Amino acid sequence: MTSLDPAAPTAEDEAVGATGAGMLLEVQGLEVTFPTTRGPLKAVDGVSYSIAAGQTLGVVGESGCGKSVAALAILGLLPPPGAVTAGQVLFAGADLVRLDRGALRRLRGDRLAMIFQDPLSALNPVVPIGDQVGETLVIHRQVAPSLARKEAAALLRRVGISDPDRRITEYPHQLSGGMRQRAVIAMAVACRPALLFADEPTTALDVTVQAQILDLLDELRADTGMAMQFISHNLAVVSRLADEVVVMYAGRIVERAPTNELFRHPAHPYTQALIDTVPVKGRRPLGSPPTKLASIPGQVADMRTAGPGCRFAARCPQAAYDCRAAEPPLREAGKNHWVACFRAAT
Amino acid sequence: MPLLWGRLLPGGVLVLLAALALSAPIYEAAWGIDPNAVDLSQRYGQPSLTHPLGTDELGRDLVARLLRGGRVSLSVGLVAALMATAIGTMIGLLAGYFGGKLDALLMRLTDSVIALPLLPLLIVLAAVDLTKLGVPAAIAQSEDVSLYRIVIITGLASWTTVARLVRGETLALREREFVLAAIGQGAGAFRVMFVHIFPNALTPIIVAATLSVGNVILFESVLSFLGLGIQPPIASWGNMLTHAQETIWSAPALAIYPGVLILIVVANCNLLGDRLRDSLDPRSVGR
Repeated sequence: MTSLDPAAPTAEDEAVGATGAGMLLEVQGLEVTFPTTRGPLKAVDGVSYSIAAGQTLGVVGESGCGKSVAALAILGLLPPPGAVTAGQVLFAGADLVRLDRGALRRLRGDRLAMIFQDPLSALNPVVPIGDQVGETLVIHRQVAPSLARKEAAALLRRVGISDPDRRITEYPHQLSGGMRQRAVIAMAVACRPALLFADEPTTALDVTVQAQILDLLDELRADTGMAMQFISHNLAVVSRLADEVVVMYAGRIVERAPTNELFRHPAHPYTQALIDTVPVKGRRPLGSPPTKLASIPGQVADMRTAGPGCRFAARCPQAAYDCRAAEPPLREAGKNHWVACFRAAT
Repeated sequence: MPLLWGRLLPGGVLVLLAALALSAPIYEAAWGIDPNAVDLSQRYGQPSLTHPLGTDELGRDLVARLLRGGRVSLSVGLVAALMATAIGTMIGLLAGYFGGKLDALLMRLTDSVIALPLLPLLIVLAAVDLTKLGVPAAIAQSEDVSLYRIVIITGLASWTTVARLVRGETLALREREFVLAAIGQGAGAFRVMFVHIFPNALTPIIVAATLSVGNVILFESVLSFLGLGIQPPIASWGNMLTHAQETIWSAPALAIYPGVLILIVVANCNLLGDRLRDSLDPRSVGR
């Protein structure tokens, strides 16, 4: 099961087949390009993955690896002039990339929803919380605004906000950070979407609140049976929620595996390095001099000037000549475990 | 609380003037005066008990004329400013939100309106025979038609400032994440524009609208002074000035009263606009 071109449909079809049919979301060879003054920049370059109903997929990678852009592209929310230049996104049988704007708009907020990183900037500062949370119902369920406000109170109670009848009349700046993110989550799940994109939903929150929000998301998923694509640069957070993890580097998928398998046997040098950078409590013996936190040397390659080989080669401790000559294809390193590396054991 | 009084003063002056203008019928009933009744035996009357500020060149009571004129000038100013604000807001939202060709088109339209030699155009517009435009004769020949005409003309001429302002605000607001979040909830373009962007741009719009009330009143008095605005016998501060110009040396009071009232109203509108900007805009300093 090896192919020289990771984006080739045959290899991908096999990959999808390996994880099982009847997927809720199937992303195949997705490519997102931003035209820049120094040439086109492929922020997402031939990415393929799938999510089954009720499953949580974690997408990890450092800033700028294309993990957020991929989610925005799937929802048709790419900021211009960015555009999907290749690939397809199958959701419940329809190709989201080729769907007309009106049909996509009817899916957004109803079957597909998204939570953003910073709840304060994702909420309109001059619209009461109740109106914002109920808005999805007004748009998709044709609920009257007064009724939607009552529904909003019920939703706020569901996500653990106390005194929701008072909260619906308040404005975002009157809520704490954790409450705001709860309100954003209530907004996203109002229409019981089949798939929720969560783009670093805990990054802007302090650590104690982070844990509560993660618990809430997990609880809502169990309740509603929705699937989730959880985007984060925080491996610890991803390991807590995800069933399967995709590791992205410079616009490409370098490794994909079930969560436990990935953390136990990371096959790609980048994944190994990422896991090593997670600080571990108690690793340093008491009284010993402080050790530096592990980091990955070098910088992410400029995707416009990258050569033909593996994009991680410049920072990779195991890189050899062949790594710089050709792009390593995704190949199977274990059951449902895929890795794009020549050096990885299979 | 001298600071608070200073801030509220312009608004208070305007409210007081509006209340006086609204009380015109009470004054007329109390003194038994018809503001449009000509009494040639009483021309250029001195202030007296029956006519507190005297009478004009046709023997009409000056107080009653000023109050009636205030009603016209203030309501024209308010309605035309509202109209200009509504047009400007619509055009600014559409241009800023959709961008591209529509933006270019609407902004060139705005530039054209700004570049138009306004006064000659208004003179032509004011001379248009409404019956030929299909307006029913009953309306076209009524006394109030000059009122409607001037509201529409000034409204159509003064939306440009608001349009540019709202476009600029919209350009900035549409990049905010809550707009992306709203689109991500399935909101359509018009919902995003009116539910999410418009309320965020309301502060500058209110300030601009207040400032434009003063401009519109000034504009109305210029047109009426030129004989193109409010037609006699309806009084407006502008056309009272017109009739006073011939007697400016013999009866200066006829020009001074409406002139001072225009000055007070316009100055207070501008002051109120500035005060509103200071107190509504969190970025302004020295509050």
